[in-house]
Amino acid sequence: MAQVKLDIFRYDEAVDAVPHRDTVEIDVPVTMTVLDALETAKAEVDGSISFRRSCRSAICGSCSMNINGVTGLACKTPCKSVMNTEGVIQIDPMPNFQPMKDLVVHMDPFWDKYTRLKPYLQPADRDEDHERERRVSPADMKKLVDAANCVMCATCYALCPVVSVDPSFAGPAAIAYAYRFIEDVRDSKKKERLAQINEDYLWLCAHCYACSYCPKHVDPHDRIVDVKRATIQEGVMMDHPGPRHALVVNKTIKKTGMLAETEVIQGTVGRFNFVGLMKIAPLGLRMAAKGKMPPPFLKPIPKVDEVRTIFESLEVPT
Amino acid sequence: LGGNSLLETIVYGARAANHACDYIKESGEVRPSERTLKSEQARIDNWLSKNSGLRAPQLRTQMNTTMSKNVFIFRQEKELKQAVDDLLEIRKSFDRDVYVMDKSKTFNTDLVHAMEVDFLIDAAMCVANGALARQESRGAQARIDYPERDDKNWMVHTLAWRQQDQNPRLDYSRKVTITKWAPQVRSY
Repeated sequence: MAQVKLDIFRYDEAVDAVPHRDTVEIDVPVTMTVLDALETAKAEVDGSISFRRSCRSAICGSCSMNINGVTGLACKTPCKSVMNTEGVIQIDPMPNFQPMKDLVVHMDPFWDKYTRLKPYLQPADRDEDHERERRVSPADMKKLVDAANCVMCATCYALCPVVSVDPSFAGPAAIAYAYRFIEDVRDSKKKERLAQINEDYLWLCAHCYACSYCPKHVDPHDRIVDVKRATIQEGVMMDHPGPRHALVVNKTIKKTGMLAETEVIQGTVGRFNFVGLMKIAPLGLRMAAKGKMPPPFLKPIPKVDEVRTIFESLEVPT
Repeated sequence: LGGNSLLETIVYGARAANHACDYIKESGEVRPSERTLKSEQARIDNWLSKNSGLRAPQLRTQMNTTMSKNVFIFRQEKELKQAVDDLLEIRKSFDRDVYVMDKSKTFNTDLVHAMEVDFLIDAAMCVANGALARQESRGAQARIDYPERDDKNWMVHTLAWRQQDQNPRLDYSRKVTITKWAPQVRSY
């Protein structure tokens, strides 16, 4: 047994103008999870401490919260792995969400982004009589199981720096779940799904890998890459800046071994998109004034063949 | 078991929802009973108005303890009687002494947990009283004092009726209807 001090964010949206913090001291085994410590504090000390929980074993995804500033499932985090030498554990609600009460947040934006993706199978035939099974080979299913393991705990969404600056971004979980249906051989709406996720700012992902920390090993970041690749392979929304940017970056590096910034800007915005080009013209002028204007044409680096070999071995779509 | 129960939840959840929709369409305007609404409101107000007494988590722990100790896998009369007595006491002290600490109207999990424990005590009383009365072993009921299955006397459903401050009234008026699968001795 050890003394654990839970330093908890307290807030009730109905009555509090600003949040405050409470410290609750309890005697529990250090092997106890943070969630069980919270349950003990609620049962024995203060019944008003509020948090979501259901299964207590990392399959329901309810108890995601910030523990010492890092988002994760409280039921999967032992106290001894997070308490400091004084036994203190700081507990806060997930960031990127509006707090409702203590550790409970408003999940609506997160669910809305799921709903927009139509997160259910849409086969070509309705098969109302359920006469036939829709069969999937083990190999085809294997691609989906990791993404299908998502428990919608929103840990990745809370960790995403792009969501924090632009809430219109679909976020890692929704894109990973879109992948689960985009790659499902039984589904008939691949192009529509790709168009929808592109509308929901798929290309805003900055590939920072923050969402690679996933309690269920879904690896949303790698699924985002897969969905971007599928967008280009299927030729969806190719007139939009996202896919164009990816392709022109690809093209210039393959050609010269370097990023040809002038060409990338033209390729992303569109060579004949005069309005778009005018918008970024001031940036160009400022760069020129500081002597930072990239050269209009680049000579390939000496060993550009090696770069091209890498590209060819990776089967990059062109 | 996870696979079975999940499938069952989805299939029967959909059937129950469809049935409920049909029922509502046929019933026209459905109004909840004023009496029920009033008694529910009184139940909640009572818990919220008090500032001392017993809290639901403590009674839940007492219930868990007696159920795990006395109504577990292998059952016998002496232990089941103990559980029936314990649960009636827990039921009475819940109705008399329970209070909810959190008075907030926002996401009040303390209140929801109290409601859950309230229902769980009823469910536990049904299980314990039903298990004590059923003097045979069948399916998940394994009585070490009555190890055999008794189709002559016990091919009946247990119906339990809630009674204020008493053990539930047990009713065996419904016989089991055998359809496709006739009951057989479990010999594996």
